[in-house]
Amino acid sequence: MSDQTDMEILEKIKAGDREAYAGIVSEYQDRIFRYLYARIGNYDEALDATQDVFIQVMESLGSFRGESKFSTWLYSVTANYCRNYKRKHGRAVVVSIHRSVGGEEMELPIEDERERVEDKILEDEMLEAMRDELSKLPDDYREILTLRDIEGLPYEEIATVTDISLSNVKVRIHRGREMLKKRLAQRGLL
Amino acid sequence: MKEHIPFELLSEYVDGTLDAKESRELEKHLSSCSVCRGELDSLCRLCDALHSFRCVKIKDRDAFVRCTMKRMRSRTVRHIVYRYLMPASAAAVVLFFAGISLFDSAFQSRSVSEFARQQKPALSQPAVQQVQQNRIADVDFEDNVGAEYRIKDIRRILEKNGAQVTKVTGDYVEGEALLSDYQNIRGDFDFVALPPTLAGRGMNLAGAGDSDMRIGSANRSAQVVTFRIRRK
Repeated sequence: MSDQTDMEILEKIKAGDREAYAGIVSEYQDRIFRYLYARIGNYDEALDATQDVFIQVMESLGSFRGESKFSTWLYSVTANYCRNYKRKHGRAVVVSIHRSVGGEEMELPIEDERERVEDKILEDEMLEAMRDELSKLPDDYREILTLRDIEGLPYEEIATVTDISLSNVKVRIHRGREMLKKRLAQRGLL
Repeated sequence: MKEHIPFELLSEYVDGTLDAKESRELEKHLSSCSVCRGELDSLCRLCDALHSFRCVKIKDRDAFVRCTMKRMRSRTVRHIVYRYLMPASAAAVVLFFAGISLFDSAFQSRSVSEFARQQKPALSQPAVQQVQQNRIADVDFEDNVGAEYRIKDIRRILEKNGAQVTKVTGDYVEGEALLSDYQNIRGDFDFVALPPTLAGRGMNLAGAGDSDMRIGSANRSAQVVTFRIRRK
């Protein structure tokens, strides 16, 4: 969907046609989901997070002033959401169990080792290895490679979304690629 | 370039962000360096593999859009309720109770004085004339209490018995009350001496606690009288 089409839909929404927002959701759902899936690593959580982002975007449409492309703004909201999500949930997928210790209830987080739905998403061994190594990268590099190499955003847009300088974008891209390439090479996949 | 191409330059070349001159120099080196060609090749494969992640999609796209829109609609309703209806309802409840409170205090403040104004005309004409003849300095009754009573003690006793205080000085307190209440007030002050009888002037005051006071033929206990309690 072009930026013009996005703006047309936004005008309709501002005029009161909230149902027009379905067009935005339909167009961007996979992109936002992929970004969140790459950052969070769990299909169901990424799906819930994607919906949260779209709700949040709808509720904050008033703050979009049209200074950037709508897609850039959408990614910015998603990136912020992801940062808050990470702060709240940490990196590992955990489940809580309640355990009685000396008569008091405690919550103990343990890593969820049940079969994950996303294991079925990537049938290709290479892609599965890529996903695995991507998940082990530092968060900054993972975010940058997702935006650049998966979603294809240009450097300038990445700088806007991540709120870092253009030179920092370039540095993170090449360092992230270098690190990932080395890891995949060690596994004999590159 | 004599040495191998730095990885960051290869990375920028893959992204197409080198200028024309840099690109030409790099391509010239690549044409004669198999190591750098190998590096470029593995970098391209890496970028292609990352790009193929685009196959990752939401399984049921239509259902996702429906669920998201449904959730958006329910949040809109909740937003309207919480932002507009609930504050309006809360304001209405507050205003309602404020109105009751104001009405109630307005009603209360009418109590003795308003009741007095309503009741005073109930006095029969002869009784009114008799009371007016016997008034001491513009009040119906005047009593003296000991100096041990402070003004605020006097007020407390008056107000406890439902009297309305109309004037306060350093020496006395004036007020008005139902006649029956005034009798209770006198009882609280434990008056030993009866106030001057007014028999000689056609009125006879009974002792404390006796509600059978004769002032005209009207309902004595419901009549409002004015009084002064003086400290001596």
